Amino acid sequence: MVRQRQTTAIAYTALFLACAYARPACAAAPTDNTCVLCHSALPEPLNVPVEAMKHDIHAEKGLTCVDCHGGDATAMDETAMSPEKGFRRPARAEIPAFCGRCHADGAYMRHFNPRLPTDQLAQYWTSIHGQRLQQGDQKVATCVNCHGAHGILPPDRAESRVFPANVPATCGGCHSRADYMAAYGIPTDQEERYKHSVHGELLFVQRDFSAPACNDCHGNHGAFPPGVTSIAEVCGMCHVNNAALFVKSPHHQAFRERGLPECATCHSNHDIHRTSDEMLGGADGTVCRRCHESGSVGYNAAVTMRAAIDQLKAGLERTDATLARARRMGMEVTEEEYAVREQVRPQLIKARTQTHLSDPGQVVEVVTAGVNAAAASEASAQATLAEAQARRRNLLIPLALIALLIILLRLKLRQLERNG
Amino acid sequence: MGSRGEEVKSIGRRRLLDVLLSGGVIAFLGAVFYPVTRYLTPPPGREPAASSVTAAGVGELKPNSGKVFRFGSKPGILVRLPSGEWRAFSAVCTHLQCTVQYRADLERIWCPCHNGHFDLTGKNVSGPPPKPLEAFDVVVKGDEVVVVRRG
Amino acid sequence: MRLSSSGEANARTGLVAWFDERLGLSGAIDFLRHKAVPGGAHAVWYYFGGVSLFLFGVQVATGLLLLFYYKPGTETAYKSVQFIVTGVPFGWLIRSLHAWSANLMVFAVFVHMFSVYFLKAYRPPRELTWLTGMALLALTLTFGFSGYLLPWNELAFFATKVGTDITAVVPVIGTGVARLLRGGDDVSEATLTRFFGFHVAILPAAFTAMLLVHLFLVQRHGMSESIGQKGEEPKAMPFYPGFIIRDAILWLGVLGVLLVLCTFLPWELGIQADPFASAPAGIRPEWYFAFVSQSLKYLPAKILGIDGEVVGICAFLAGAGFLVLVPFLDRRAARGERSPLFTVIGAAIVVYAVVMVTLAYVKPY
Repeated sequence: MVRQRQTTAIAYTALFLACAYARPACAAAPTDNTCVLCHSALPEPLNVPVEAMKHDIHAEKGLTCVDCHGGDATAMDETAMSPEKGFRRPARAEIPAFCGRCHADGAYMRHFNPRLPTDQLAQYWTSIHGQRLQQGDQKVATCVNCHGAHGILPPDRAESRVFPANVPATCGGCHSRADYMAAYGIPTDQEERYKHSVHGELLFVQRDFSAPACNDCHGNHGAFPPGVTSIAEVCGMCHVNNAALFVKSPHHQAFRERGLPECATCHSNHDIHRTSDEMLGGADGTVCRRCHESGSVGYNAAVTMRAAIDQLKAGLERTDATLARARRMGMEVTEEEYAVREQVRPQLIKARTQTHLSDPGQVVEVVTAGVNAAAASEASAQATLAEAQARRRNLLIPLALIALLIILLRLKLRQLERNG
Repeated sequence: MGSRGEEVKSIGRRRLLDVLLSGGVIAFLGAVFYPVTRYLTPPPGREPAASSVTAAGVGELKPNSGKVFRFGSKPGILVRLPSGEWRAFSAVCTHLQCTVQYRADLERIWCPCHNGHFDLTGKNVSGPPPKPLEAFDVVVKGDEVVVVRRG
Repeated sequence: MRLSSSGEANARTGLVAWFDERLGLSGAIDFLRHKAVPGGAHAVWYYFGGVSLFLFGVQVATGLLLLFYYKPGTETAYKSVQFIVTGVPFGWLIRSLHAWSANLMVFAVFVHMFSVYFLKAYRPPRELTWLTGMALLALTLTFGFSGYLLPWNELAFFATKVGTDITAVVPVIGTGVARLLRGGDDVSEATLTRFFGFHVAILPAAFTAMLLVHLFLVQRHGMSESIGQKGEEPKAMPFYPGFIIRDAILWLGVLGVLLVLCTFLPWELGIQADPFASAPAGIRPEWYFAFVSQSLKYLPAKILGIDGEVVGICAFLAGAGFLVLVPFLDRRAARGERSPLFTVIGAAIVVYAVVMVTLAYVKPY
């Protein structure tokens, strides 16, 4: 704060001096935007907005400094920034309303982008940031913390701070700083965990922008951690079947009673890793054993489901191995490989999804269908192997014939040459 | 003298060798012509029509239903619209290559992996899929519904 | 064929006599009886021409059979070959035979050419035999190049792309020839159609015509004797029955080798070509072109201001030109003298080619 006042004082002095001594140059272009003219001559941080506005969506739409800040862009002296001329530089708590002057006005925004929502301000007040701001917390995020103040770009541009791949870093700008977040008592490792999660890998490495970033689960302007009872709904936006089955399972009620965070209980929230079958079952280290004691109903269900899935996996591996052997022997097995890919593998995926219902019977049913399909493919693969081996055996017939003929021809040759 | 006897024996050996040789040659020719004949006989399987396939019988699908069929080495999906019209697309989801299915309740093509939705023109309308499904042409020939690759 | 020398009048002799009266076969057989093949240390090399001929026969037979089921076209080619290999009885055998025999034929033709070279059999009066032989070599390589594309798989597509690109590098006529080969500026369906036309019609006709001339010339001039066997009576073998039956034995052996190769190392189908996909790593042309492509990899981008590739291609064309014209260049051999310079040059060429091909497979980069 103090530094800010010092800067302002220096700035005004510099401004006065600059305009006093540079008056002829300034007077040379009286109709130009004096905000830009003067601010570009000033030291940092006062010249930063000028550079930033060169790549700004508002500037592209033809809006200038006075459209937000008010004031007089033709005046060469301090009256350019006088409150009488309408100049305002919002305090932190005033920022949402400041931006909302336009962005919450549907009729006004229609002029620029009829499709752009205008509920951001209303959403913001429901968010944790908005609520705390109203209570006087000056550290929470306002519009400019995420979007910037000058140099604002729409989220579909790769340089934008709210471009999907940049969102985690933007949120992490506060949420990853332990010193800044110390007073709030929430973790500051979410961004780091997210980077190593499967969603982070999809977003940062595969550049799959449909992968969820912070805003997809927590909300954009109405950002609020999903409450314990709504996690399944949030994950279920993409993972439809898993969520639907979970909600019908006994875990749903049980977790709610214990205040456990639904999907995140087993899968974690930020560092969600690719699932593996190791998570399921009765062994130590599975998620089931965290709650279910050995011998309990839940334990037995977990063991049964894991065994069924392992059985299907084993069948699949057997068939894959047989097909690989056949291929190595030179047989064409694309048909069989297609059947495995389209009929057996999906059953394995379905079985793993089905575990969310926690009903072993259902899992076994799905697994049985898969095992049968795998058996059919295995039989087909074995037939191809048998054919490959038959070819090698049958080769002996022509080879024997050739050997016989060679012997006979040599004998004939000897006979003919002996007789001259 | 034994030379006459030897001559007879050698003639006999010669004839034996000639017979064996002729037999061997005939056997060899047989061993060549057998596979050739089998090769030339029209095989039981149907020859591949690479760019078209019969996906279903005309009466097989009711309106507002779909069927996944095999098209080359990838799955395709045949959809009969509520209006009775036929549409066909690649069933490989453009997001992470799961096989899509038809949802009669939504009248959409749906991917169960991450809740991707495609409308009945194949366009990706909701969820992660970044691109539309590749569309195929459908021709009804007699009582067969034939799907043909475009282009 | 008079297997029985006993003069018995039996049905077979009667049949043979019937044909002989009308075709004059006994004249041919008498000629073959008198034709002699030189013996000695180099005798073994005289068989490779026959092996090449046998393998060509296998190619024609299996090629005709493949024609019954192969469908040219970007959508149909790969699938038709897949059908042959999986759905047609013994289709796998016919296809693998065709592919393996092609490779063995190229090898045999090269050995045949080099053995003729080192034995200086190109010297007068056999210059035309040499020239027709070189034409047959070129046609064989073209057969290989055009046939390789026909299954329309990934490796073949990109190998053809690289191959036609190298052709385009030849100065003056290169771009035109490449466009003629490709049917356009890219490898496409048009290329496939052209290559098919070349492979099953144009090349067989040209090859057969050239082969007939070559064989006629070989028969007319008889077998060449190696230089330096003057003064000794070369132990000659009559062409019939000795050489012919030995040929037959060797051909049967080659057939046996082919069958073993087809059973234990069947030719792969690969993945269907996708012109829009990027080239897989390690693309290279078939081994008989590998010495060219590998050499080009070692050339710098520019040599004395000219593109390195152009210099390389011109060097290879010059080398080929040397080989074609060697009967007219080797004056010493023409006089019947030993010609060690040409032997050394030939050896250098062989060593270079073998080293390059080895590198292409062992350490391509």
